[in-house]
Amino acid sequence: MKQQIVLSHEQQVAESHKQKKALSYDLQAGLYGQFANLGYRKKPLFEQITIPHIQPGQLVTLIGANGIGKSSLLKAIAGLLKVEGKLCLNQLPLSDMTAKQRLGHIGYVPQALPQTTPLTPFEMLRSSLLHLQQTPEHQINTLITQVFQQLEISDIALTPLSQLSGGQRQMVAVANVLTRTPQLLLLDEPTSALDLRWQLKVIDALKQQVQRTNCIAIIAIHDINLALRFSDQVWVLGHAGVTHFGKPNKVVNSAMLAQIYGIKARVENCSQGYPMIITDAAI
Amino acid sequence: MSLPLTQTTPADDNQSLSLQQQYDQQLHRKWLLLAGLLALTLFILLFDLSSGPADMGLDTVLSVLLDKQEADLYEQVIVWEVRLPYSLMAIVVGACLGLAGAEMQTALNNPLASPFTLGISAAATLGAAIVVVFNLQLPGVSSHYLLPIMAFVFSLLATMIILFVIRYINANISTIVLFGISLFFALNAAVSFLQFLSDDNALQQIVFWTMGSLSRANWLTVIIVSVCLCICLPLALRNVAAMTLLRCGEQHAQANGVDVSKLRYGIMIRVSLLTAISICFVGEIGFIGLIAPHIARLLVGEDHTFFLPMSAISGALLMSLASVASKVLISGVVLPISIVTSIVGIPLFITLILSRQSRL
Repeated sequence: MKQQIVLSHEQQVAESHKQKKALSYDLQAGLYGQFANLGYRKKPLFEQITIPHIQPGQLVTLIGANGIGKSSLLKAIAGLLKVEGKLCLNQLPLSDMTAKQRLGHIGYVPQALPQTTPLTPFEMLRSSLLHLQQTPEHQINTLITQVFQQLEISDIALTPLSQLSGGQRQMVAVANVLTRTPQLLLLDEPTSALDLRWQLKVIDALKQQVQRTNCIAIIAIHDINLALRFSDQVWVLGHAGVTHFGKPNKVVNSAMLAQIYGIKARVENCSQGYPMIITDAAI
Repeated sequence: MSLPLTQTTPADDNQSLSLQQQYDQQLHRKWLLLAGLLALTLFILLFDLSSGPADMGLDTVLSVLLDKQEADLYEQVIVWEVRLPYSLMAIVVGACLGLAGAEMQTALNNPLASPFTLGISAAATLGAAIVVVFNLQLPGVSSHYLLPIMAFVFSLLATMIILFVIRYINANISTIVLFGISLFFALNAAVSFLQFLSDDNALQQIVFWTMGSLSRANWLTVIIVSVCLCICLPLALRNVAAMTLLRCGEQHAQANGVDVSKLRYGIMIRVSLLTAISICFVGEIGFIGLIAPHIARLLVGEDHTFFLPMSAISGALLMSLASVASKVLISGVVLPISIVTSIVGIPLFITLILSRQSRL
């Protein structure tokens, strides 16, 4: 990889003595790492948090209560929030890179919708590809056209963002990361403004991207049923950096829902055999 | 890096062509608008050259410009030393202010921002007022140039304070704007205080300076402002992708790898240079830096590849129109330019707003 940081021999030896375990990690594919003091200076959200080892080709949903730090965690992984610690992605030392280098490998969709401006979605996606300079210029327009088609939003591609609804702007933000082929996709509630059909379109497109490029997708989401149905792994974020990570049917159960969300809820199978949660009451 | 995302069927292919074609059509239309407005500006420039207190029509002016030898000395002097610097100064100052306004509105994410939002003009006025009131003299510097030099130095000082705030306090946009507005009022108070101290003659000079006047233009000042524009415009155009992304919101710009604070810092430096250099020679010229970007936005949208040049051209056009108006509104009198910029700009601006409203 072109942006790999080359350490001097001495540094390498020192590093290997210090972090034997971590170095053996370095040879592994996937995402893993550990953050310390994530959040605000006076009152960090997490003093210590371990990012579970996520294999390439997995779609992971990140769930947790409001304000627990899902967005901050995604920002920290994207490199937009200063944090101590180490993070590796497919042998790339992400934590040693600058934000721009890092974002060349990561497709991050922030929670905020794109602003209402006279800019068109086509121009937005084009500027993004031009700025990151990873795609040959003659391919850019074709690539954008394909993504708009895949998401079935070609009809709004040339309409100013100021004339689009919140949901449409959210689709544009998702389309923006799909024009690239990053090794890691981070999406902060990408379905929050979407109706049922578009939720499915987005999840479907993300699943396709994960399969096609063997990347990792981490999606923060509040809809647990969507998470249960479509994710390969669920990552549950609790207080003080306590996390649970595993297959949806293993992780999501009444006890977890009570502990994390403070609700009384059941996990039952629907008529087609998929697990679903049914909420009864707030505890 | 790019694999085909979907298997395209022939039907899809048609559709994909049409979206790209539509985009290409939009591009084509924007280039045409850009060229059209540029042509219109040049046309107004000719009109501007042929108007003035000395009764010389377009044919006389053109004959002087095209063939210097045959025209008499009086006409040559009027055209080359008075009208041409005056009209060209209108064009370059308008372009500078239009470009600066567009960059400022993007940097501060605020359609009400202008090159003067952060107090640059007030600082320039303070610098000018100090020269006038205290009758400053510097050995070796002609008093004709001392005033613009002081105006320039003061606006750079104001900018440095703002840049310091941005850099070391790591301020967000609203802090920057509030700080700039406070600075603006503080500087205005200082100018008022000087006006209170000054005698009638000095007071009149200060007031006249704040009205702006192209009559102070000469070839040297035109060249200085043009050089500044020729440096700042390409520098701005190098950042068009990042600036366009910034219009989607700070978070989206960052998510796409834009270093927003660095970008904003660069913009501030360019804006203050453009503004300080243009207003130090012609005085305060309001309105252009605010309205030109809006006209550009209505015409070509916010892809900064077009938005920035279009703002510069709109600014130049507005100033050129104002320059014509300043000479023909009251025949035989050249009005201070700042008085007419709004008279010219507002009808144009309102027409555009209304035409867009009816299209929606």
